Amino acid sequence: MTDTTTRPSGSDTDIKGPGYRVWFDAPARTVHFEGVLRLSTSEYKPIEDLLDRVLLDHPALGLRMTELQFLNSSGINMLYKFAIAARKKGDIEVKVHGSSTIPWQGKSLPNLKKFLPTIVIALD
Amino acid sequence: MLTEDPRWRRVLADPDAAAELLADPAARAEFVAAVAALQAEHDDLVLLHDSTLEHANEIEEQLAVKIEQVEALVVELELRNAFIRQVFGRHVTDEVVNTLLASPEGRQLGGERRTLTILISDLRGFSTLCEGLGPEQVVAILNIYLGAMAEVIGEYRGSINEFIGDAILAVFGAPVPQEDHPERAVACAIAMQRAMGRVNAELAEHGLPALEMGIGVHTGEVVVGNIGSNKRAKYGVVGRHVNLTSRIESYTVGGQVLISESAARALGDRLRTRGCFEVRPKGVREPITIHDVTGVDGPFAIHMTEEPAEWRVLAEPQPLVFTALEGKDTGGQEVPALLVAHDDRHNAELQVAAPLPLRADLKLVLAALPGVDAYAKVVAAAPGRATVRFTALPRALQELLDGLPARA
Repeated sequence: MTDTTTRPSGSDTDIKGPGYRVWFDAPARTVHFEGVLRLSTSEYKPIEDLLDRVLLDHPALGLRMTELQFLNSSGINMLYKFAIAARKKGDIEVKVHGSSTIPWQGKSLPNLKKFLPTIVIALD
Repeated sequence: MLTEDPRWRRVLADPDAAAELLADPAARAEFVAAVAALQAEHDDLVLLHDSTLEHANEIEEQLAVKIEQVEALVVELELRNAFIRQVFGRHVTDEVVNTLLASPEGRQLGGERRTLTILISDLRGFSTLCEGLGPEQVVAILNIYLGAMAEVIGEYRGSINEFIGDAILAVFGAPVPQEDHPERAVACAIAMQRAMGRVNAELAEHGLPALEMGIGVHTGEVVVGNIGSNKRAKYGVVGRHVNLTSRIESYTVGGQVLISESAARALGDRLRTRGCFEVRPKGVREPITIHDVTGVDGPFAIHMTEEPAEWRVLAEPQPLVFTALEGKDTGGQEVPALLVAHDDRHNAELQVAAPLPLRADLKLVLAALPGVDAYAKVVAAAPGRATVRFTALPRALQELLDGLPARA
């Protein structure tokens, strides 16, 4: 399922829009979230698809959030759903890199553990 | 999904069918597994809902803090702007301050060439008048006078560039560009002259002497901008046209507005004058034409208030000597004459032997008041006669003239 209407630009593994970029660094098996993400639920579709694909293909994954200044409720919802999907898939290691200097990350990233108890949260 | 199975859908529609279906052990096991899956999904959704809400609350919390910070900044900014307006706004209009605050370029040093209209006003005989007054009185007079004039200039959107003692240098057309700057400036000059009635009434209330003001207006290209050093710069105008405006002003008598040919041309047929004359100011090669303004028609319509002067012819003409002045240096020959009449608007009629040139500046000393110098300008001349307008009329002389018997 590809939704081309809401895709801003870039490829399937490098999604860019005004003020944000989400891209998959394949050799490092890390998804990078950068900038300010304040899309509507449907506009998150390309990012959701990217996460679904890398979840299927890799047994170990990193999510780097240290450059993500802002994430709205639809965004965190997508991230929590990804954690549920990872738990259901099982047999996967997910590590999240965040920054404690970005206020929302200190509160909302640790909640990922409620959906995926094996997730590792590293805040610097 | 449990509800997608037709058997279970039937049960949901008809609860009595449940007993029959659950009697089958395989179906019962399936049902229990499905309920467990639903429960797990439900738990995830509740958790998802709560965690998402928590995130939303966190962001709203941060938003509230940011709003408070922005509000505090707005208050601080308003205080700063109010302060700037207060300090600066005494000299320029709010419009000018707002323009400068809005454009960062406005705060940089540097200038540009622009065609503007310059207005210079000056008090007639103020130095002479000050001689008999204490410093507090001089300041009180200036504050009443400059305050009233600044208000009028503000109404016409001029910006006061400088107060030089009792003189005012104002420009129209900068920093905020105005297409109608010549018209605004000339109308403003007339309004300033009209406001002198109020100023003198207020001065009289405080027991202070009356003032007379002359205004020169000229349109020309000048350099405008922030002039000075980074520490001390002011928005100013420079150029020969500023000096020329000052020269034009020097030809005025009290109550007069004189404007240059360029300003007059800009107003066209909306300008009302008593006429024009040629002058040859120092440092200017070609003679220039000056218009004696009485009013402006059109959108800025305003006219001088003209009260016909009533001559008081003296029963006994007063002998005097006058000296024609070149510039500000006195040094000419003393010429005898007779003062035959005067009015309450500082005009006097002289009986002279030789004709006097128009607009000549004279120093007069009455035989009845030796040592008291009066200054006057020739405003009309006829063979054997000259009408002069006092530009500095010492109080002693005014009192003497008022006290002399008039011819019935």
